[in-house]
Amino acid sequence: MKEITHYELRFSAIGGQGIITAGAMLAEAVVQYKGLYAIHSPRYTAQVRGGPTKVDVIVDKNPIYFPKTTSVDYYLSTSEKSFRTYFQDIKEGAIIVLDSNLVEEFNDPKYRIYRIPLIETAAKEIGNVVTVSTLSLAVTAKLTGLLTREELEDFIPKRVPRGYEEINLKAVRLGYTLV
Amino acid sequence: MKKVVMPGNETVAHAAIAAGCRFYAGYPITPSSELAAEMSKLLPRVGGKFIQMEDEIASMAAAIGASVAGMKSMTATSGPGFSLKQEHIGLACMMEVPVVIVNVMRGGPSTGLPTHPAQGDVMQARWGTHGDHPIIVLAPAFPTEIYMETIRAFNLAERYRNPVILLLDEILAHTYEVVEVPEEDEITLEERKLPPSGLDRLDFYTYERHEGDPPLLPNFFQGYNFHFESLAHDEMGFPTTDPEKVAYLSHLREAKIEKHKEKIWKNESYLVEDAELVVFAYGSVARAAKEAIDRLRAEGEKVGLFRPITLWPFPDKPLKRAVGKKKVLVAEMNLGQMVYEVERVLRRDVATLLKADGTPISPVEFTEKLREEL
Amino acid sequence: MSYMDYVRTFKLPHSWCPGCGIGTIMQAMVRAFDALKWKREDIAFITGIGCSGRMSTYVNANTMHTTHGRPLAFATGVKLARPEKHVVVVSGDGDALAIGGNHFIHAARRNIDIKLIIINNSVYGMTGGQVSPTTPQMFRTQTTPYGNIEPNFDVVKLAIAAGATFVARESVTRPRNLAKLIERSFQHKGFSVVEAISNCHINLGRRNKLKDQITMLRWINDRIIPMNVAKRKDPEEIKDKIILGVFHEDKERKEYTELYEELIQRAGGKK
Ligand SMILES: Cc1ncc(C[n+]2csc(CCOP(=O)(O)OP(=O)(O)O)c2C)c(N)n1
Ligand code: SF4
Ligand SMILES: [Mg+2]
Repeated sequence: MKEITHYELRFSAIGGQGIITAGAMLAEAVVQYKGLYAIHSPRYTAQVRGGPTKVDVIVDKNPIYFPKTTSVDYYLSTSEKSFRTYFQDIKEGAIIVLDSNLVEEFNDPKYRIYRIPLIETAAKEIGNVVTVSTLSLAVTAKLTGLLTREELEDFIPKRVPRGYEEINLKAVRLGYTLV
Repeated sequence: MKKVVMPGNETVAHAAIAAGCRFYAGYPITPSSELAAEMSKLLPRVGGKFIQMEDEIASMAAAIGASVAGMKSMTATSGPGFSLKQEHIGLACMMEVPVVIVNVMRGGPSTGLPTHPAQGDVMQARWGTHGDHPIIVLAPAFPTEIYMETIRAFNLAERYRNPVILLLDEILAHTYEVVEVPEEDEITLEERKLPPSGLDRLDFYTYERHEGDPPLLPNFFQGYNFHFESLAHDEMGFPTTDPEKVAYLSHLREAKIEKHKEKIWKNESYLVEDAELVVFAYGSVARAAKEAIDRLRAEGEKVGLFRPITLWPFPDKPLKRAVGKKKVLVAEMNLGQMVYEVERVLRRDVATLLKADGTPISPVEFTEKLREEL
Repeated sequence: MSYMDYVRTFKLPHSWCPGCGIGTIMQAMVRAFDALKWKREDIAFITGIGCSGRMSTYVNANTMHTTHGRPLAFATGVKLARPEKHVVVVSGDGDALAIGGNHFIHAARRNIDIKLIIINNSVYGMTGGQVSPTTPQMFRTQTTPYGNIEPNFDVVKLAIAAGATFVARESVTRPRNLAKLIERSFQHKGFSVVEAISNCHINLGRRNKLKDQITMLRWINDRIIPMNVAKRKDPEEIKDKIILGVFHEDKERKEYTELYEELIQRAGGKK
């Protein structure tokens, strides 16, 4: 993994899709396995379900001063509306991961764009849509190099609700092979 | 020490438990509600009590009641709820009862901006309740600092028998960050000093003391049949209007904080020594300032930061010592509140960077403003 | 011990107007302390602000004179912190029912073991005689110079509806009954309310042709009727009367701090 000094990520979705959890898990895992500093701030509104929502994650070698994102290196989104709503401060050259079924065609040579059917894969191939959090986390880990597959395989079973360990491990493996 | 990722609201709750807090009374309000939720989960596990009262006035009262009965206690709120607590904050000052009040600042006035950060309550924290009164107000800015300052808030409350207000804002309360949670033996707790138990006597003039000391008051049920009074009272705690007696205790209440300011003050001076321009900022605003300062330093610009962690009593001497004749920029998420204190202390006008629209001051805004002022 | 041991005699004489009923009610209350042989150091006695609130100066126990309307909220904190202790609150009619009405109904709803005595003199005594939630209609007060048009609260019905598990009413004109009734309320486990009808001839009486203590007490006496007597009367005949007695006593409902101990057990907490 290349040395990380400062990295900003954003996950956006429709509230309730489980993408916010992916951000939270990412922050926790990099703290635990990489000794980095990380923060995550879920968008805070009264609305919980149904509307566009996002979580921002900042990873840094040093304690983080300004706790808000200013130049996003990585943006993952699973809904058209949320993708547009939170398309701000995205850095040139940023990695953008879009759910290929749920976000419309988006082309811009300024970014490295990946289209993956995240939700469909979780629901059909893995067998439970709740695994989209882990799947997105694995995809993100692979694309950014923030965490290794072994680290995720250690982290995930401890983090997910009891009874969901196996299915989430499957999501980790699949996430690493999807991209 | 172990690293835990949690938001400021939860950090305060965990630190409070570690500080020995065993009572919490509150009323839900954004953006402080998660603090109450965490306390409702944690307190019963350690045999403590959590109660959701009918409003913030009642919450403040119940917290004081529990403290008088011997428990370290806390309440938390935000904006409108902080306004409602004011009468009883004054009562705790008057009766000299230890209690910790957390105010997660949101945009105001009135219902304002419930889900957005602000620093508009710093003057209210000092002067919100009527009448002259002593108060201690702490404003941590970083995750581990939030933990440690929560513990310090309880320690100061118990030591000086006074309400201590801990100010956060929506950003600090909701951002999940790495908290370096200390082990039990890494923290020092202060316990309330009490007169010896078992005395059923009335000749114990509990409010009497040396100037600068907190009073040595008994808890309820300790055997003293002591009277806690919201009216101006004499050295035994009974109502009086005798000007001499009124002045006597009012002076002692102020003196117990005033005389110990040096010990209560806490601040960070960051790259101030050789700076030509010093930012005065506190709470989450100071974090953006630090980032901007680092960027400008990398370009060779001589800028620094003076960050009070204790907002009240106002750190007049440390500020003067730190900035001397240097240029100063006060930045706050309000339309200018602490700036008046800074100008009073420095006896000159200073530059300002003020914002009260529900969004934080960004490092970019800081950099631009600092460049302008340099 | 005698009931005077519950009085801070060194703080006497008290500051109430000559003939004010509050002193009589205080005596009934300390007699109840004495009858039950409660230890002073085990009693928390908490009052609000008003003439009634001044009682905390004179009662010899752990006392607290709080803010207008909120003594029950303070008492809730004290009781939760030390459930094994006796927590007694005295509150005026303005204190308990106007500014403190919310705390009153919620303390009742929780059924927390606090013993509340409401001194109902139908007026704001302390501040010079303004209308209160229990001022009779058409009465003149400082702030109802043309007569009070507002109906008043029935404290008993309000307390029962809110969930208090012991609710009773007595009059200052029957001090012995009052002492007995307070004693009985003190033995109840749960939120108890005793409404003590009192006189404020100074600030209510004099504006309503009840200029002195005797006239006002006689007026009260003419209006009260003990429950057992009332039961034998035609409802039409007693519709303007104030009925005295125990209106509600529920020994089944669990008390709040007991439920809290069970909660702590469920949470796996240590005591
Ligand atoms: C917040 C607040 N509002 C108003 C007052 C002024 N005040 C003091 S006592 C009182 C009314 C007291 O009436 P009641 O509770 O019936 O007691 P009484 O004097 O009749 O015994 C008022 C309005 C106050 N002390 N605090
Ligand atoms: S004003 Fe009324 S209630 Fe107050 S002491 Fe005098 S008579 Fe009693
Ligand atoms: Mg009254």
